[in-house]
Amino acid sequence: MTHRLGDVVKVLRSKNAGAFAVTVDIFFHDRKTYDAFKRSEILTVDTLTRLYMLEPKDVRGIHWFDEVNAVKATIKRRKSCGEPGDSDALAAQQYFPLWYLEVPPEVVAGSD
Amino acid sequence: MSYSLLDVGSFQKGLQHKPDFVGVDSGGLDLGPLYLGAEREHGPWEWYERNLEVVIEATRRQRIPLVIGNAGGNGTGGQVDRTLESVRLISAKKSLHLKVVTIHADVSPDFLRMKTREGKVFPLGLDGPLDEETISKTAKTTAMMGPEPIMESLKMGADVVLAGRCCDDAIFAAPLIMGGIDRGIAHHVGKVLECASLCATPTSLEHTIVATASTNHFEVEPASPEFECKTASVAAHAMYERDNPFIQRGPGGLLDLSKTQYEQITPRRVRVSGSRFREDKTYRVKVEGAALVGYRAVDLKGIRDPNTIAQMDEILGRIRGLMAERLLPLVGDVKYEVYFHVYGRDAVMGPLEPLRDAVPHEVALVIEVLAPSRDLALQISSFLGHQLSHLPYKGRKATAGNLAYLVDPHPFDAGPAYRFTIDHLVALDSPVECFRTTLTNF
Repeated sequence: MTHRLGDVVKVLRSKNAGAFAVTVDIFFHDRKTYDAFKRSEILTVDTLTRLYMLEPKDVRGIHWFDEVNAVKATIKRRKSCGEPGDSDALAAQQYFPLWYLEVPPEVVAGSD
Repeated sequence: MSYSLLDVGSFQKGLQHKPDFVGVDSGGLDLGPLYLGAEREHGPWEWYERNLEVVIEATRRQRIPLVIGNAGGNGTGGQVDRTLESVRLISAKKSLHLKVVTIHADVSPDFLRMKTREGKVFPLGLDGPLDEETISKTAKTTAMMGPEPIMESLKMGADVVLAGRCCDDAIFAAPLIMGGIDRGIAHHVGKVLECASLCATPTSLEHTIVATASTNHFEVEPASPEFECKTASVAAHAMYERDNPFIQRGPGGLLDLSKTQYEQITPRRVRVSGSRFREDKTYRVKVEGAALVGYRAVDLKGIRDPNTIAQMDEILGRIRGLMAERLLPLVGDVKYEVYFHVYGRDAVMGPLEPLRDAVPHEVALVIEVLAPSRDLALQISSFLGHQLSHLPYKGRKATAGNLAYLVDPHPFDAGPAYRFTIDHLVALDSPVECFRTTLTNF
């Protein structure tokens, strides 16, 4: 059975970080699944450039926040906030490329 | 405060803690450049005035200062002035004597020219130096203040500070720094409190949050008993709408949260320590500007026919071709932009949509047109709607029309459109250089 990131995490959200960047936050249910995801090295600059069609320089950072079992990735916005043609002014729905990311069973809470 | 209705019961509970001041953030620029360029409100002004009345009356009763940041929603000069007028009406209605200090954060084109000449402008969200064309086409520019102009206002004896565009943490940091609290702690209090009970669990933007700061730590708890602050919820708020949870840059320095400790003191109260403020050598503030780029017309059409949906891209491609050809006599070399948003398929994610190939049974087509005038935007959009409605395509059975019309009038006038044109850092000679404080007695 395959597991998708969006189905196994506690929080998966996106938002503007200023008018020119989108930040995606992923919170895991517990330390165990967070550690498993971090160890899996699934979330990398390469992953983000592929999923979000970016150049590596457009990935502003990936920050692992162990204390809260969460990771944050900040990337360049496709269009600046609210300009003509932008269909998500707050960038609140830009986490779907990550939702369908396949993760190993260790990332699923209660997997053992 | 400008787009939500404050929970008054929660606010009253917060006041029972006998705070030394009350701070409120009214908004920001999250919604986009229209709100800056056209000085548009975020929400109903009636809600904002109702919130203002509640906080002003209560802080006067307890004789404590009230600091409101990003007054009016975005903190433009016009919005600060409009807020001041609302405060005047409230003072008259409630027979309150008020010392109000407004802080204007608008910066003039000449200020930007001077700073550019002096080599004191640096790219931030937008690249390059500020050229004359950018400066002159920009409708409105504001600078984002740190705590210093608010501190100056409080020293003037303000009962109410109406600060224009400002960093959300500065609202809370200013009175704390004046009270001798370490800047790292003061700024972190601001970062935690800026979205009210969003740092609690469950989250809420409308429920009051209470912080108690000491010289080297602070404690935070929600005013309402149905909310709790947990180490995880408070720490996690450092991630909210920030690009980096550990390093947060602001006017004059950065807040370093990499060594911050979170401790659960009671089931609802968290102690925070170890946050550090590192001062920059030069004091730089962010300036943001937006320019009018035209007018928008928007049309919404429903499509249910599977044959139309299956050929959507081809149909839209043909419409673009027709548009270029048939509209030429009408528009000449005038530049316009057309965006097709296919809701139900990929309007939200665009080319990033992972399920792009799933075939929906119904879609909404939103046609967005940007043109130099309202009239031209409406004409172009009308042309597209009409052509689409009657365009023949392979396998077409519905020869009476391809589209379900929802709105009247169609298309509708979506008003002026703006783009961010300035998103830069400017080095100031002093932290209050481009912020103008004015005292008004009511």
